Amino acid sequence: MKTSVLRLATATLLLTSCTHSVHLVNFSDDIPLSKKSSARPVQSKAEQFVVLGFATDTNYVNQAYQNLQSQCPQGQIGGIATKYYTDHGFFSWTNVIAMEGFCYN
Amino acid sequence: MKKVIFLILPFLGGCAALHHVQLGNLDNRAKVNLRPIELKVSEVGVDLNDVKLIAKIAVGKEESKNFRELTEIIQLFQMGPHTGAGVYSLEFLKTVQDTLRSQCNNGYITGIYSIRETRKYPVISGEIIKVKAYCATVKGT
Amino acid sequence: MKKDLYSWILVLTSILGLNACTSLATVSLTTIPAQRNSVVKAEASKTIFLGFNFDNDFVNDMENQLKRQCPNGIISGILTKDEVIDYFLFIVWQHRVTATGYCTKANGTADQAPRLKTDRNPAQESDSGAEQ
Repeated sequence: MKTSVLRLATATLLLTSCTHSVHLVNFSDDIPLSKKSSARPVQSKAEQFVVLGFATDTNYVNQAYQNLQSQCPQGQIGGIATKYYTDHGFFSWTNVIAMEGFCYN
Repeated sequence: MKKVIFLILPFLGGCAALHHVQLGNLDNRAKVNLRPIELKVSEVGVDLNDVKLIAKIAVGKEESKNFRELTEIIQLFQMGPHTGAGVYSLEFLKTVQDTLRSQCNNGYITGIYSIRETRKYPVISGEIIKVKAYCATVKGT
Repeated sequence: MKKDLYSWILVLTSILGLNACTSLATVSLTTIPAQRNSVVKAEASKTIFLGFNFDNDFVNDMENQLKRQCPNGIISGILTKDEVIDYFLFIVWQHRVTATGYCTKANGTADQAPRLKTDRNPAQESDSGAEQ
C-alpha cells in the first residue's frame, strides 16, 4: 500500500515537475507620447534547445533581434521588453528570448 | 531538540538575493512632471534541495532516504540553468509590459528601474520581478 | 573492460572540453532606430583560469570601440550579450561581452537626430531622454 502510494505520488510529481527559470526582464526607453496612438505592437521569440549543456553559440538571441526588426522595416522600435528564461526538462532545457516592443514612424 | 532548532531557525528571517538590475534613461528636466509608478510580479518557486535537507532532519533515516531518491528523480526533470528556484508557471511574466504601460496612459515612461530578485524561505521562494519607473508628463499640458 | 570504459570516459570528457559550451548570462536591448544601414559592433573577452578573476575592466573599452565607429552620430538599437564559454569543465572559461548596434548620423534626416529648436515639446521628441 505504502509502495503504491509512493509510486502514485512519484508519477504525479513527474508529470507536473517541469519547471522554468526566469533570468531577467529588461526594458528599453518608452516611445514618445505623440506616437503612442499610432504605434503597433511587434514581438519576436527565439529558442535554443540544449541537451546536457551542449551549446556552441547564442545565435538565437541575434535571431530574435533580427526577427523583431523585420516586423518594422521602416520605423523605430521602442518600449522593448526583453525576457530571458529557461524551460527545464529531462537532461535538457530550452533557452528562450522573447522581445516585445512598439513600432512607430 | 536539535531538530526543533533546525526547523525554527529558517523561519526567523527570509534571505533576499539580487540576480539582475537594470536602470534606464531618466528624463529629469525641469519641464517634466514625474509621477512614480511601480509594478511587482512574482511566482512561487520550489527548491528541492531544501526538501531533501528538511526530510533528513525531520523524518527517520529510511523515510528520508526514500524522500531523497524521489527528489533526485524529480530533479533530473528540472535540469538547466537556474536563477533562483524553478517556477511551475510563467503566467506572471505575460502581463508585465501591459500592466506597466496601463499606469501611464497620458505620458511616457522614463527612469525604468527593473530588478530580478529572489526572496528565499524554507523550501519555497518568491521569484520576483520588480519594476519602478516614472510616468513623465510635460508641465502645463 | 574497465580500461575500455575509462578510455570512453576520457574521450567523452575531451569532446565536452573541446566543444566550448556557451551559455548566455545576460542580454539587453535599447530602442531600435529606423535607419539601420550602418552597423557598429564592439566585443570584449577575458579568459579565466580556475576562477581567478580580479577585475572586470575588460569591458571598459567597449564604449570607446562603439564611439570610434560612429563619430558625430547616435548609437542605438544596441543588443548587448554577456556570454560564458566553458572550455574545459569550468577550469578554463571565457567571459565574452558583445554589443551590436546601429549608427545614425545627426544630420537632421534620421529619426533620432536631435532638433535644434530651443522651445521644443519634450513629449514629441523621438528619444524621450535626449538633451540638447
